[in-house]
This record gives sequence, structure tokens and C-alpha cells, in this order.
Amino acid sequence: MVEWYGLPWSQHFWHWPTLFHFAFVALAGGAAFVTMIATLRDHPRKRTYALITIGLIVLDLATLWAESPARWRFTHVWLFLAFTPTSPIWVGAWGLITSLVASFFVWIDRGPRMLWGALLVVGSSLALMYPGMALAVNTNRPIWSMMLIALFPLTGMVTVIAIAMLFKQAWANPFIVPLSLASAILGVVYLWGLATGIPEAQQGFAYLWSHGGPLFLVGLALLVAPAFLRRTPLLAALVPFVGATVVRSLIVEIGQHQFFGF
Amino acid sequence: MTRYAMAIDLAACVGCSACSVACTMENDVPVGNHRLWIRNTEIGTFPNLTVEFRPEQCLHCENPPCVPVCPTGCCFVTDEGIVDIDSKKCIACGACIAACPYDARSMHPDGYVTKCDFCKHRLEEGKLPACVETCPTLCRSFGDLDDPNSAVSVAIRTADRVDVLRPEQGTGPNLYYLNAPASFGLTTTVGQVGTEEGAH
Repeated sequence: MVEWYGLPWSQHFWHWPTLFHFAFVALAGGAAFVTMIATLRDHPRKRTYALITIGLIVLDLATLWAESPARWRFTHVWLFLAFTPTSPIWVGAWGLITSLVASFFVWIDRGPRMLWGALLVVGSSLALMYPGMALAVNTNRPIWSMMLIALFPLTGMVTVIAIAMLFKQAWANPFIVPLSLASAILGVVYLWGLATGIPEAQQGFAYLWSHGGPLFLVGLALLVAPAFLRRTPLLAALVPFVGATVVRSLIVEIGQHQFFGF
Repeated sequence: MTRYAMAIDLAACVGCSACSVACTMENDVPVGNHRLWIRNTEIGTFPNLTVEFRPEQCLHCENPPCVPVCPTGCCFVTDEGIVDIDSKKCIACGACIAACPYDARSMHPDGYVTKCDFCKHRLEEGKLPACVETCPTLCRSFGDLDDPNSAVSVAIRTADRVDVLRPEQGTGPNLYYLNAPASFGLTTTVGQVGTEEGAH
């Protein structure tokens, strides 16, 4: 039996707005990725995609602001005055701001297009990768394994391709099945890695399973579903979007637990 | 160069919590936050039974995982080895809380992260940390690890047994636990998942 006088900070440190942030940053990074391709290929809709990217980044930053306990302290300027490349959040902040600036110039159609495209290559890559990195660096929390560095960008792309399909962008249709299937496979490998890993990873698996395992499996099943929904593009978009969001949210929410505290 | 460290003799600690109270008062720790807490763990089964009173706080690691993940550089290590926070630069992103293997950091209601800083304001005045000064059983030793005659160096050198928490994390804590209940060892903390009895 364990009793306490005072308590360690074992409670969740990220709350529901953070789950929205993890959804919006996937969309923002993915939209920046699409804008990058459209810009480099001089696609006629590149300005539209750039405007959507700007909107999603602003929405994402607004969500972060809403979540922040330092909402009115304006210390966030230090994100851009400090040089801390070992911090995934710093990397993500620069990825988003780079994407925002480049998308703005693509939208107003000014300046060297290839430069904005190149900046979007960097910015969108960082924005897509940073959420998984921000979790995976915490080796003390076994549910946040290194697999997330691959799983989060992939599921992020699933969500943005799904949104593109919902807006009837025909070019997106061929991508949804391979991306969502790859995400589902990575999700299974991720679970397998936890279940057969070191003892703490196995504990992480047990904790994940007991706190949301069936829902996680539903999320993976929804990621597989587009392979069987080719004739109904609306469902083939909506279903994996929900699946990817469920999988990401469960990992973020449940993974905050570490077994040292309670 | 000074390298501050602390040692806690678990054989002497009686779990009175005076250190936690002193810390709270000295540092004006708000309700709901704790810089220092006591974990009381029953170990073993009758008749081989004992209780370990283990005070826990920031361990001021040599290799603190909380520092490199900080996006604004507000988390840093002082020249004396204190893992410190510049609250004016903190954006309360929670990255350091996530990275700490010891749950030693908490969110201050005013929107920044807070934790034990070895009472650095007292050290500047030549005093000991409040927890060390107040301990009625003198189980806490504090001082310069590089000085072989400092209280902490002597305590570690003369202890029968020295442990740190979660050594597998490779953090190199500068808070040492001395003389843990010998026949059982320093309690590990990975136990049953999802129960409050999971600490052993």
C-alpha cells in the first residue's frame, strides 16, 4: 500500500484543447504539404490551398492559445527569440511560422514561387513531424514510443487527404487507401511493439488497452475501411478521418500517464 | 566548482512531512502544487514487513530530460548544478512536465512551471534549503558534491547503501537515497497498472 503526504504531479498536463491542437496541426501541416506541391507544380489552385493553410495554422495557434495557462503572459515570443533545436515544440513552432509566411506569399502571388515552395518543403515537413517527435522524446512515458515519429505524420496526411476528398478534390482520391492502410499497419506495429517490448512498454500496452484499447482498435479498423469503400468517396474520406483522429487522440490522452507516480 | 547535491537517509526518515511543510511555506507553494512530497510504501508481507518513507522532489539531474525539450530555453542548469526555471520565459507548454521521469514539475496557477530549486534564494544567503534545516531527524544532507568534506559527500561516503530513483532513465540524479531498508531495497515504482497500490 502507498500513502502520500503531498502528491507528485501525476495528473494530466495536457487537456482537451490539446487534442484539438493535435488534430488541427495535422491538418495545417498536411495542408502546407499540399500547398507546397501545388506551388512547386504551379497548380492553378495553389492560392486557394495557401489560403486554407493559413486558416488552419491560425486555427491551430488559436487552439494552443486557448489551452495555454500562460494565455495573457505573452511569453510565447520566446519561442522565436530562443534557439532550442532539441525541443520538438520549438521545431514545430518554426515549421508552422515558416509555412504561414510562405503560404501568405503564395496566396498574394508575390515573390519567387520556387523559394516559397522550398520553404514549404521544410515548414510542412517540420509541422507534420513535430507532434510525434514531441511525444516520442519522452522516454519516461512508454505509450509515447518512437513509432509515433512515423505514425503521426502518416495519420496527419490521412486527415488532410480526407478533407481534400470531402471538398471534391479529385487528385486526392488515389492517396486515401494507401495512406490509411499504411497508418493502420503502423498502428498495429505500434501496438505490437508495446505488447512485446520491455516491461514498461508492456505496462504501457496494458494501460492503453484498459483505458481505450477497444476504441483504439475501432480507430484502426476505420483506417482499414477505405479499402472497402472505393465506390462511396464521401465515406472513404470521412471514415479514415475519424479513425486517424481517434488513434492520435487516444495516444496523446492516455499516454500522459507514467507509472512512477501512482 | 560547486556542484550541489542532496542526500536523504531513509533509515532516519520517519515520514513526519516537516520538510514538505517547510518547503511549502518557504516557497509560497500554492494549494494543489507540491515541490516536495512523501511517499509511504509498505514493503513485503508479514512478518517480513517494513515501511519506507521516501521524500521526493526534483532530483536536479546531471542529464535532465526536462531541459532540452524546453522550447524557450527557460529551463536551464546553473553553474552549481541546480536545474532551474526562468518563469518569465516559460510558456507553460508542459513539455518539461512530460519529460520529467519523476513528476517533479507542476503548473503554477499563474501560468508557469514550478518545482524545487534547492531554495536557491536561501543558498545565496549562505543558508541551507528549508527542508534540510527543518528536518527533525537530520536525515537530509546538503552541500557541494565536489567538496569531499561537505555534509553530503560525507553522508554518501559513509552510507551502507546509496540509491537513486529510476537509474535506468540515465538522468544522473543529484539527490541520493541512503540506507534504504536493506533486506528489501529501495522500492521500485513499476507495479500494477492503474491502481494506487502500484508502487510495489
